[in-house]
Amino acid sequence: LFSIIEQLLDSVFYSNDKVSKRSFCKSVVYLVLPSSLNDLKASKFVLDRYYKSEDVETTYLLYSMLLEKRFRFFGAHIAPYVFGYIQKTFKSNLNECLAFCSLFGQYWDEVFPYLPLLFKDNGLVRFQLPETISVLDDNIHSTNFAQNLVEFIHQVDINGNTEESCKSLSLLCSATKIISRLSVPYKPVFDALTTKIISLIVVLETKTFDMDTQYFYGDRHALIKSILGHLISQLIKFTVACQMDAELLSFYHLFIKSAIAYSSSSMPLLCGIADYFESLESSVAQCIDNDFIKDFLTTLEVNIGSFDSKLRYQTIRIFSCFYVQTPNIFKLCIQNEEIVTGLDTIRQKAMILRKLEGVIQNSTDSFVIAMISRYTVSLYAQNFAPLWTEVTKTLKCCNDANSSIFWPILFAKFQTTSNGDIAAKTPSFNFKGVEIHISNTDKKNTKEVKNISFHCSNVDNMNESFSAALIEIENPIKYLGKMLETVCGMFNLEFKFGN
Amino acid sequence: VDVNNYYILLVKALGELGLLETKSKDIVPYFLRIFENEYEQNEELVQLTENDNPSTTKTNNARKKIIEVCNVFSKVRKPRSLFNSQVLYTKFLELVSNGESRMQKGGFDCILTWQEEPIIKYKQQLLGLVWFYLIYRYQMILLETL
Repeated sequence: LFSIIEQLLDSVFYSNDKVSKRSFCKSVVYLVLPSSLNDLKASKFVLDRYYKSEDVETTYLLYSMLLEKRFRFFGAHIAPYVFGYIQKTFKSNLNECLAFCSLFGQYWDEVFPYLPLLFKDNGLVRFQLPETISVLDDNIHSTNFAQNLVEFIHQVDINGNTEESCKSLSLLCSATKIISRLSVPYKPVFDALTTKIISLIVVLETKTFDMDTQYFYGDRHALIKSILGHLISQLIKFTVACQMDAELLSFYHLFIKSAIAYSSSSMPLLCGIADYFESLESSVAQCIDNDFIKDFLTTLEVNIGSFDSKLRYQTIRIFSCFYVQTPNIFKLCIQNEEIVTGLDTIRQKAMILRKLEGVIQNSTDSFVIAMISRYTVSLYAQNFAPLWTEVTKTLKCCNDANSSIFWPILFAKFQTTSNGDIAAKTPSFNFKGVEIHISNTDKKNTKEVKNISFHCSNVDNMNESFSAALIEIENPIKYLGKMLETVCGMFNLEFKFGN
Repeated sequence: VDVNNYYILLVKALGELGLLETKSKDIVPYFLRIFENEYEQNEELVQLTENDNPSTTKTNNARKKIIEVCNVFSKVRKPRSLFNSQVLYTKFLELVSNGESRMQKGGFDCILTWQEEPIIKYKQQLLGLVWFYLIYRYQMILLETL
């Protein structure tokens, strides 16, 4: 089958029909996916042909589909091609290249352990090409991907209000997503990221306005805050990966303190700040000016009871860094947030709520009661009925412990929902990002991932049995052959499986 | 977030935690506002456009809220001690005269908590009427679907 594909590839690449090209690409992906390492030897010529192709979009589509389908040999077999292709296309096809980098960043942790040793350097990636790839392209060594990325980050214009500048900001996010994983000198990357972070904070000091572009619509400051949070997270990751932890303390006065002032309602920015405080671990107390942080935490208290689970989660992470008493109620809340709500996890969630009840019963601290009350009330927002009875039990416990603390919290929620304009209070914006280049190719990927799964172990077992049965019943080669027949038909090529 | 569902859950919690009677001064004005602002206005709208669009989502949400509020108030032991109890009583009476059977039932259950002698005397008959109408409506829907 691989040799048939190899024969067809030239015709496919000469074609101008994008839809058919994509269909063919899918066929290749479905042929590669079930292959064993031995079978993959046969795919070498096909992968080489894609690598040499000038049709960047199609080649990245192949790589991204294999990545999204979690191809088990991606790290060992495909990643070398990917690294080469990224270097090769960075200057000529910046958008596609960075869009792929952004996607790659999402699956990084899954791919990294399986990368060949040649690429690994203390948990970071060395963009060095193996001979097998470098023979495919003689000019590949002349480009330095990391250096190009740093230059690109420096050049991005963050002050523009046009569609183009929105796109640049999205590309900036994608670039930082990959640069924080590379084995490159610390100083240039640190300088590039810090300069951008500080300039973003300066933008936040100016007056905001609404934007309406293809990539983003809504409050401009919301966009800037998202990017700021993302850059802070990436810089922290990079600093920790480069083992430059001592530098972290200096970040507080450099930009964290200024960023905090704008963070209260921005989930991505809170995520960046939470990453920072978590990375400080025990030294958190050294850099903090107490009054400022106390005020900051007071403004964040409302977020603990937020309807937005992501905002709630990031806020709890920050509180968890400063709460020293045991048991750490915020760690319990984090555990609860990290468990996906579903039939098979409801017992775990109920257990955590029981633990919180235990804390309330043994505590007279008004802060503890207030925080648990806020958090528990917000859990009604999860659309999962079995959880509600458990939540009501915990609320009863909060009310019994101290009604004068509990009642204002419950009543505030009651007032907000009675008026019915929660949507109006949260900033409405849509950050589509540069991933649109890739996600448009497969509409299934654009489906919104919900926070609740109706995961059931019995249904899972049944599905597994079905899949096993299908493999036994259907001959996969026959299936793939038929698929090839269809695809060949699209290109008016004569191919009959079995001939 | 499904705000209406969240609201209904909060109302249920108020009932289960026994806060309805102790905090009625805070809560009752909000319930009355639902009756007046959301429900009555939307009901008028529905009557005006009944031929085109008999039940709007907004009205359905208001109905769901009111049915839940009635469920909670039907468990109150001393309704006379509630804040603005007389106004509430009038609203529940209005619900009984409403054409929607579940609302009638909800309103009637609340009225019963006042324990008024003439109503208690004919409780079974009145409940029978409400139930009869509920069953009648249900059978009509079944017939329509056949």
